[in-house]
Formats: sequence, structure tokens, C-alpha cells
Amino acid sequence: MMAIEALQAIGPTAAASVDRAAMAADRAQPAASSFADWLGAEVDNVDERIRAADGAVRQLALGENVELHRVMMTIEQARISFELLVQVRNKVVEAYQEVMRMQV
Amino acid sequence: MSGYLTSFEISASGMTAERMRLDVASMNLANATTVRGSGVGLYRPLQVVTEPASLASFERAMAGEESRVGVTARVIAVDGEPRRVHEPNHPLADANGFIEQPNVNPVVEMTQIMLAVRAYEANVKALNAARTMAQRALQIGEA
Repeated sequence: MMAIEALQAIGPTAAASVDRAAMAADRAQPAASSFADWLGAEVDNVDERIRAADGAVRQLALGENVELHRVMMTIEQARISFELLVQVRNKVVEAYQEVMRMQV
Repeated sequence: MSGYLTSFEISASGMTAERMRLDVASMNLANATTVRGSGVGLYRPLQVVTEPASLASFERAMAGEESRVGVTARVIAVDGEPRRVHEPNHPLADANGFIEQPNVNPVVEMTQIMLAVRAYEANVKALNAARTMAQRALQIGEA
């Protein structure tokens, strides 16, 4: 009984906070409404990062005035954003396979 | 700029400052025994001055807004009494046989170099920690 009361007490608060979180997410990404849009934007983003890393390595190889740690940092940024994309892809494929295994 | 990129940016600014410190110490050491050249004055020892970013800019960066974080470093030349060395055979020696050399203390410069290397290492550690955190976050949900 006590547990249920406790749950009822936190119920509205939790719902309100979820609403707020959803609103914050809407505000943050007004343009990217669907998941496909988000994924497309993210792929472009990763591509941009990899290009930046490529450019930094090229500048270094050409002996231009670029700091070594900046180059390494750009490479790491590209790597991490690529890994994020791979993880998202893994989860999407996993969900798809889960649906395909479903007994109808 | 937000999230782990902020940590990267902060560490990178620290590394840039420490590289500058090393360059300045090398410059001072290389010029330690130079004398007043023709048309060039006596070498003035250089010093790195680092300035912190304001708390407000750090908070803006934490909130995901565009902001400059980390340290900014600049180089200044310091004036000091030149060292007078007795070298009567030197072509630039004055009437009393003295030449003037810049006020560079090699011991201080060596300490600066060690300091710069250690601080650079610390910044690399911090950057690697940020990277490890991001990679650990990507492992969430893995078996």
C-alpha cells in the first residue's frame, strides 16, 4: 500500500520531467524531426569529421604549420564519432532482426 | 562545442601553451651566449604568460554554447640587467674588455623545459581520460 502511494506521489513528477526532456529535445533539434533525418545528419557529421582528420594529416605531411596534438585530437574526434555511428547502426540492425524473428 | 569535445579543446589549449613554453625556453637557451650584434640590440629573454579562461566562458561551454575554453598563452620579452663577461679579445668588447650577454639563467630554462614536458604529459593524460570516457559511454548496452 505504502509502495503504491509512493509511486502515485512520484508519478506526475516523473511524467512532467519526461515531458520537459522531450520538449528540450524538440527545442534542440527543430529541423531533424524524424530518426532518418537525424541519422542522415549524423552521417554527414561523421563524414565531415573524417574529412577534417584527413585534411589535418595532409597538412602535417606537407610540413605546414599545424600542431601535432591538434592532428591527433582531430583523428580521435573522427574515430569516436564514427564509433558512435557504428553503435547506432548495430542497435538499428539488432532491432530489425528482433522484429524479423517475431512469430506472426 | 559540447560534451567530450569541450574536454578535448581544453586539453589542446593546455598543450599549445606548454609547447610555447618549451619553444621559449629553447629560444632563451639558444640565445644565452649571444652578444649585441650590428643593428640588432641585445637579446631580451622571453617569457610565457598564460591566462585562464573565465568561469563564465567555461559554464557557457558546459551548457553546449559556443565558447572559448582553456588557457591562452602569449610571449613577452622581459628586460633585465645584462650579464657582463670579461673577454678582452672579443671583437665587440668595450674599453674595459667586457662584453654584454643577455640575462638568461640556464638552470631556470632547464627547469622550464622539464615543467613544460610534465605539464604536456598531464594534458595528454586528461585528453586520454576524456577519450576513454567517450569510448566507455559507447559500450553502454554491450554484453
